[in-house]
Amino acid sequence: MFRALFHDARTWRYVVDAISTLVDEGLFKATEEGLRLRAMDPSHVAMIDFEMPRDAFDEYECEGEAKIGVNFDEMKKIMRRGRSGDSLELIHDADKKRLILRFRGKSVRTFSIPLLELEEEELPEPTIEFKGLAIVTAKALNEAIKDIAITSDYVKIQMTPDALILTASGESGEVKVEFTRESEALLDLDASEEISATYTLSYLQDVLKVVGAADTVKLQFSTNMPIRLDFNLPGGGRFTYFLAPRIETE
Amino acid sequence: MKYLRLCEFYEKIERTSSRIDMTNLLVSLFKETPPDLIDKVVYLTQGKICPDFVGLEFGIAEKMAMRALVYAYGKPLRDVEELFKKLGDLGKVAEKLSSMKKQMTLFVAKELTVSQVFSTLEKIAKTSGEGAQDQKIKLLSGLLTSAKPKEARYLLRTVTGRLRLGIADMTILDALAMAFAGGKGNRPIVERAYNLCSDLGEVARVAAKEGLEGLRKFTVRVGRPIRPMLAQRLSSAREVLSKLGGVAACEWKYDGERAQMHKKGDQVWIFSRRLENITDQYPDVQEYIRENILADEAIVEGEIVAINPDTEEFLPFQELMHRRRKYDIEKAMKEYPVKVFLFDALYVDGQDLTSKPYPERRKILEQIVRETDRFCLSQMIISNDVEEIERFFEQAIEAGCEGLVMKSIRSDSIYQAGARGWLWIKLKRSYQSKMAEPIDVVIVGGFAGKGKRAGTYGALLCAVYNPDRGVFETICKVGSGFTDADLQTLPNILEPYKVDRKPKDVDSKLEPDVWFEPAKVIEIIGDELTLSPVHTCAWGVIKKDAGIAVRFPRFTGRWRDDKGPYDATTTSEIVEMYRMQLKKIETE
Repeated sequence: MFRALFHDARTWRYVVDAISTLVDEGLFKATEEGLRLRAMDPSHVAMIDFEMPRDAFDEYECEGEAKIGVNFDEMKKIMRRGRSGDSLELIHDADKKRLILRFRGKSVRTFSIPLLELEEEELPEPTIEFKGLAIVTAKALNEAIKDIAITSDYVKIQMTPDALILTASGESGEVKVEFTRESEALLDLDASEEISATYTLSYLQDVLKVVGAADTVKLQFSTNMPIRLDFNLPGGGRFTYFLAPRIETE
Repeated sequence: MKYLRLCEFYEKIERTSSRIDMTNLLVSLFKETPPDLIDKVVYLTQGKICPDFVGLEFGIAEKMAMRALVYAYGKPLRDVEELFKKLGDLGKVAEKLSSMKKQMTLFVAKELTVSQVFSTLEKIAKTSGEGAQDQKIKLLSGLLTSAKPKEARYLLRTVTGRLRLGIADMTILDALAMAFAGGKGNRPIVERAYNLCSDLGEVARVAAKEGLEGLRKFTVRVGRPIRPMLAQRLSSAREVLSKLGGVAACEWKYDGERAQMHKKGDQVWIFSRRLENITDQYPDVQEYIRENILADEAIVEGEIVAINPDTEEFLPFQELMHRRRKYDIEKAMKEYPVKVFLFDALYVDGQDLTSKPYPERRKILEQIVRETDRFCLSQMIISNDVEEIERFFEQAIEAGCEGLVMKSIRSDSIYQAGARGWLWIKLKRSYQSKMAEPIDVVIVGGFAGKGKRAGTYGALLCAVYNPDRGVFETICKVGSGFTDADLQTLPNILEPYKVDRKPKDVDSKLEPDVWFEPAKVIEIIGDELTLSPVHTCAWGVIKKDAGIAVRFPRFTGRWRDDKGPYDATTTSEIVEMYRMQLKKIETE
């Protein structure tokens, strides 16, 4: 049995929105430690590792382990009905094979969706040695990606000991967004050497749907290697995203 | 087994045009394949995932396949389209894109296995309903991300139905015989198994696991289509008769869809000549089978023919295409009703009839069928008389049939599943006379209408004028082409000309419900002019004991009130038209 109450329904709205861009269906796993989901897109280009620890919830009850398979399109529609000030109650009804989603605010609104019987996929975490790390505000990264999207479908991300630089060029022109040590939006930067890699923009645009729920993002990558983005969520929640690079060889 | 290994065989098979090389390659492929996978390998090699009668298709059009490529390789659609224009083969496009792939994946892809590819392809085929397109695209692109360039080539060709390795069923049977059944000499045993189950995958599995012994155990099963017996073709009744030993069962060869109908209690299956499951296209036929086959279990064969419900005339085969749709079958059923003509029984209540001679099968068929207006036995005569057969033939042609199928009635006239032998011989026309222009005919009789046409006429007996004899000679019965308004006014228009008996100047072998004084002239057109044992126009002129008739006649809508009966088209004009347009039919 699993039941939990989270103080801000909107956090879940953004999380579910971002997940739904990657996979149609997925399996939340509830344990005594908290709620987890790991999912990879069918083409194996990107992966989400989401975790909301038990302490992040106002109330949390879980005996043993509950596997909650959901269709994210359905769940997304419901989560979008969450209003400002609503808290969210999640209940796993194993008997009726339902996930109950209850908004508690000015009124109590209860939705339920059928649980899907999904096989659990074994998804290991990619093992990558990162050569650079930067922390920026979630908002600033979102804006930077919107700037890039004007010109190109791909973004080149570079890190030097002094700056995080996003560039792109396309038929219509070029764009460059710099976060230097002086930039207010850059909270931390650690790169011993210059590194760069190119990523498909649409994946980043999709995952950035989660920024509504996060304050900051930690970027980690190496030259021509996958990038790891860690969005910190309220209450100690974690939304980690891995994206494989594009390699320009010709 | 790795999918790449299969692709390597595909590549070698593609490079050879020699059937012997192809067979040898298949033998090595089959021997190398684990027995548990052999059916899958056989299906995949044919570009399928199951036998045709299961009716499972990938449902991936070129556009969709291109979207999967966009998804898998991160290229814009216009680039993919451009490449397709240049290479003309989506397989090559996929191969190219795969080899210049820029988007990396998070994990090093595992090598594709045959069973993984097969089960994903099966999922693709089974995905239906809302959102199916996207789901299929995702499944395909998921495979592509793990595929090496060569694998990508064959995957794309497979899902778009363009694998085309040029391997005939018979080549696979040869290879199976050589690989598992003790050599090519045992091909007939392998082939027999195939003819009875129509499933190469099943034959391969049994051959690989149980060898010759297993193959010998194959029997007819209700619900599983049997490969149909086919007919040879000759162009004269005399030749056919001598080939069949002087006497034959002659059946009308209806211009419809050949159907193998299976019944097991309330369960019914209908398979096409190509063994596709067409049960859903014919809810009406399903009902006829349930109600009128008086056996618990049966496999019978017949021809489904489209008919004009108002006149009961046969319609050309093309009309059945209206049934080839998934939606609104109920509507199509009403608008395009069909009639079934049964001609064979292959299995009845536990008894395999395929090794019984034709007369016995036909007798059993007659015993288990309750004939109705819409479900009956094929027109058949047993004859040793060339002239009688020719008359029967002309009658068939005029009724809209293609000719006759003449069948041996000797003791060895078994049902040769899957074979085109000399026990059945088609007799089709070698000449036809296309009708290029309409003719003006005189109404001399009427047939009472039924159903929607109750109270008016279902068809009119029409004649041309023969000035030499001073008589009107019948040329057709026309029931098509009349609008509802035409039909309503017909009785009124014709009432004044009604007479009690056949007018003296009308020469007719048919007896209509009502006779008319030759007076009203209408314009009609048909598909062709054909010899007829029924109509008297130009009797004996072209051929002894035959006249000329219009095949598939229809009213053009023009009442020729400007013409009197003696101004109608004349017999000699018809003879001239017949001769002018007579052309040899290209044999198919």
